This record gives sequence, structure tokens and C-alpha cells, in this order.
Amino acid sequence: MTDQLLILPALVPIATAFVLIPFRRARMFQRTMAFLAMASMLVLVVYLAVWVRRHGMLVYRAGDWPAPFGIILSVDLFPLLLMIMTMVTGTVCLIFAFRTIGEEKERFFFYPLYLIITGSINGAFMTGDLFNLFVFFELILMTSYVLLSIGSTRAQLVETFKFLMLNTVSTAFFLVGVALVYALTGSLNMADIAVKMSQVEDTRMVVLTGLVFLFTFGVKAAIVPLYFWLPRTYAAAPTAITAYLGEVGTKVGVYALYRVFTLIFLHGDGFPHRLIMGIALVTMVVGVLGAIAQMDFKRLLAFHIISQIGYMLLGLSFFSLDPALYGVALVGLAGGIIHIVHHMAAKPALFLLAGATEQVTGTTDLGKMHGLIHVLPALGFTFLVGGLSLTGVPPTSGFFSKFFLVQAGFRSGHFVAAATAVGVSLLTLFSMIKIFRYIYWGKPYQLQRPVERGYYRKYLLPGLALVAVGLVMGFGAQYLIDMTHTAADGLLHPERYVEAVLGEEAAARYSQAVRPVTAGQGPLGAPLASGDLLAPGGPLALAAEGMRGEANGLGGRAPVGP
Amino acid sequence: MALVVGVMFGVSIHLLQQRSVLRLALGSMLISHAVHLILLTMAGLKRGAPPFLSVPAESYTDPVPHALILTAIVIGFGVTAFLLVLAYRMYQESGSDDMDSLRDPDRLV
Repeated sequence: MTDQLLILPALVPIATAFVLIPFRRARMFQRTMAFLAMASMLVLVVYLAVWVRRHGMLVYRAGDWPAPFGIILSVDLFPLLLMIMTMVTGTVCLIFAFRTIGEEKERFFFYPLYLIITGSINGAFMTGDLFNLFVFFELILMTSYVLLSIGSTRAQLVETFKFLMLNTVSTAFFLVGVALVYALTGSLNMADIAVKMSQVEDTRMVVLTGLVFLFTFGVKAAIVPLYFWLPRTYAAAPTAITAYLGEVGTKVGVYALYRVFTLIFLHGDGFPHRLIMGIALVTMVVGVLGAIAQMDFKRLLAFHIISQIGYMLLGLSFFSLDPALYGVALVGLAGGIIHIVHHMAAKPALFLLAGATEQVTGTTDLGKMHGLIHVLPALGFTFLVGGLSLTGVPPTSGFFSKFFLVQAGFRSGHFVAAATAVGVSLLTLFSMIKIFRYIYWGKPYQLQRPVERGYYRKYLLPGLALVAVGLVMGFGAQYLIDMTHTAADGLLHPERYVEAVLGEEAAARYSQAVRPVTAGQGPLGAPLASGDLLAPGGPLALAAEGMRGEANGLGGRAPVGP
Repeated sequence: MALVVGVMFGVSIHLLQQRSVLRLALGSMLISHAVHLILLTMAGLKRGAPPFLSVPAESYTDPVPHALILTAIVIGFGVTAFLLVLAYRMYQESGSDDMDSLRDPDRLV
């Protein structure tokens, strides 16, 4: 029964959108319906996550067709965590949009588009079918073209056009990848592809296919050689859209990379993962340097997205099915996942605060603002906490992701990676200080007109809510760490995914091919139960033990970055 | 087929590197057609057998690639339509179809 619920997070927003289209003039009705759809889906995905945490993967078979033939939706904990954050951010950005988006855009189908994009993002997170993923990607892209160009200022049109052209090429390569996969395996179901790919003799072909997917998802995730579109496209759009799309849209690309590179493309002696690590490091550095150079509030924050994508990919690059590296891979992947979850709240928060600042000053140019903390102290201090959260200062959730990533870096001997992660954190802090110094410090700002009544309630509250989410995740880190390690454990046992979709026989075959070392000794480890994680002999305890041993070898505890 | 696909990819990438908006649009259309041909070729072209299991026959052709191509054509059509409208609106707003002069819209005006 619960598996039937799985279709709803994609279906309900899209269906609501179509209901709303005829009522373009009824603004209050549109707002209420959009909010209800978002909020109810938030409740639903939280319920699904709790269910999956207890009982294991959920698979929904459309029309009850057996797996390799029918279309399936399949979720383990990882996509559900991302969906929870999508719905949280989506709901908050929607509330911010009520106040800021403007009547004209509201009439121009803003809410239906917003709901369609939400539904297709959820669909992309859930689908277990490669071609379905393509269709959901196209849906996301089409709606985001419209959302980005809504309002039709010159900058928006020009930037959307560039975004569209780049994505035409990336879409073409997605289909090339699908064609290659189909030629190699004759299947589109991800689990089935994974099993058949693991039997392919010519691994060079598989690695090549993997790289095609790295390119096409890389464009969506804005990794370094392919990031040009991001800062300008998103800086041109209205703030609520930037906060939502800029954050969640890129995460779909990151999620797709996580999925295919932990399930399907495991060949090539770890070459793809080493390549991803290289890209991740360059992405981090280039992104943060770009951010430091900017003098525009929104562009600066947009460059930060790129740098943070680097951290997420760094987590992925620690993936390994070698049992000896299990501890490192677990900690690294969990770090990456925490970073995605953390960032999906922290970055939109900053964008919304930038939008709130823009409401007062009418500009996003850092050089034209100063001393706002004297006028609006609450805004300034909220931004301070949000900025520190993004940087990764301890009581916030950003700390834990970097802690685990740096730990994994040191323990696997990737000292350059760990050092870069720490260094980029410092540069991130530097750029946050830059924003703070330019906008909030200095001599008091002379307002053109008095601050609107109810300003805080209208504009600050959404950003404050997301900053608070970040803080709650930081103080409730126990729960966050437990969930993300379980999700990472799921990614490290792709056999479970295959088993849930295709059954035991296929899973055993798959496991034998991708894990030659453990073949024959019961390849399917039991999924982590709640509370197992910290139990003596559990994964975290093992990881900690391994770390102590290695740290002694290094002459002391491995240093941990901010 | 591989040769045709190669030529189409070459031409479309050449077009995509042009400055003129119209050529960019043509390039994007051509590249999507090249990809449809790839899908057709990679799946292996088979003829003379029915794609429906309900028709009794000794062997069957695989209908999936055609379904994929059909979906891709529909999506490509939608994107192209939007692209042309967007290009036209952009031309109206900025009075130029030269990508070089549209490089940094902030500096225009």
C-alpha cells in the first residue's frame, strides 16, 4: 500500500498545476492551492522517509508490470532526504514569492509552473528508469526556461537563451548516453542496466558511456568546465526563483551523478571516481575564487553554489566497493550527503536574505550598500548566522559535512583533497566577511524611504525559517548523521537496490560481478537498523577505530578543518 | 548510418559555434536529429518482423527505440518552439541577433 503513495510527490503538484491554469486571475485561490500542494507533499515525503528508514526500499511498479519492462519509481533513503529538503525549501520560497513576485507574474502562470517544476524534480529523484529521468529532466528544463524568463527583462531573455542553448547540447548528449546504454544492455531500467553493465566484457565502452553521463549531468550540476551559465542565469531572475531553482535544480544533477556512479558505472578501476575527485577540487576552488571576485550580491551567492557542488562531488569520489575502504567510503559519502542536505537549506536562505536586502535598498550591488545593520539589525544578524552556516562553523549543519569530508580525505590519504576542502572553507568565510563588511557594517545607511510596516514579517521570515532549519540540523546532528550514514550505507550496497527492483537472483549476479572479493560469502549485508550506527561494532564505531589506528600512524589525531 | 550521424554532428556543432541566433537555432535542431539517428542505429535496425507480441511470428522487433525516438522528437519539438519564441523576444528587446553583442546584458542600454 505504501508503495502506491510513491507516485504522489510527482503527481499531486503537476495535477494541481493543471487545475490552476484556468484560474489565472484568482490569485488567492492560486496561492492557497499551491501552498496546500507543497505543504501536503512535505508531510508525505517525511512520512515516506520514516517508513523507508524502518522497512527498507520502496518500489512502485506502474501498472504492475514486472521490473525490467514496466516503468518503476524506486526510492531508498538518499533521494527521500533530498525530497524532504526540496519540499522544505520549495514551501519557504513559495511563501517568499507571495510577497515579492508581483501581480503580473502571478497571473502569468507562476504558480502552475512552480508546481510543475516541483513535481518533476520529485519525479527525477524517484525514478528508476533512465529514460524517465531524461523526460523529467526535460520537464524541469522547460519549466525553468519559462520561470527564468518570466517578466521578460532583457537580461533574463538573453541569459535564458544561453542557458537553453547549452542545455540543448547537454540534452543531446544525454540521449547519446541513453543510446550507448541501450546498445550495451538493451534495457532502460537502472537496476537492470546495472546488472547487465556488470557483465559487459569491454569495460572501456562502459567507462566511455559513464563519461558521457558525467558530461550531461555535469552541465546540470554546474561542475567546473561547464558552469558558465549558472551565475548569470540565476542572478538575472527574480529572487524567489533563483533561490529555489539555483539550489534544487543543480541538486538534481548531483543526485543523478550519485545514482549512476554508485550503481551503474563501477568499472575502470576507479578512474571515473578519481576524475570526479579532480573535477570536484577544481570546482571548489574556481567557484570560491569567482565568488570572491564578484561585487554583485546575487552573483556572488550563485558562484558559491558552484564551489559547494565541488564538496558534494568530493563526497561521491570517495565511493568504493572495496571492503577495506568501506569506512572511508561511508564517511566520505555521508559527508557529501550531509552537505547536499545542509546546502539545500543554507543557500536558499542566503538568497532570500539577499532578496530581503534588495527590498530595502533596491540594489544588489555591494558597493552601493553599507551599514544596514544599524537600520535592520535582525536582518544583519540572521545573515551572519546564515553565512557562518554556509562556511561551516560548528553549531551549524555545515560543520558536520566538512568534518566528515576532511576526515575521509585524510584517512584515504588524499591529503590534497582534504587540504583543499579546508582552504576553500576559509575562502568561503572570507567572501562572507566581504558581504558582511560591505552591506551590514560601516556608517549607517540613509534610507530613501522609511522601512515598510511589517517588513520583518513579510521579507525576513522565510529566510529566517531556512536559517533556523540549518541550525536545527546542526543541533540535532545526531539524527542527521544517523540518517545520512544510513543513506550512504545504502549507496555502498547497490545490490540492495537491485534486489528490491529485480529480486535476489539478479542481485547475486550483480554482486558477484562488482564485488569479486566478497563473492561467495553472503554478499547482501543486512541494512542498517535504527540505532545500529553507533552500536559497538557498528559502522561508525568501526570507522572511528580505523581512524584512531591511522591517526596514530600519522603521529596524532588527523587535523579537522572548519 | 554512423557516417551520416557523424556529418550531422559536425555540421550542427559548426552551426552552434556561430554568432547568429538563427544559426544557433538551426544547429540545435540538427543536433537533436543527429541524436535520434544515433538512437535508431545503436538499437540495431531490424526489419520484417512485427513489434507486437499479440501477432504470432517467429521473431519480434524491439519497439522501445522507436518509442524513445518519438518521445525525444516531441520534446525536441517543444524546446525548438520555445527557443524560436525566446529568440524572437530577445531580438525585440535588444535589437540584435549577434551573440557577441549580447555577451553582458548589464553593460548594454
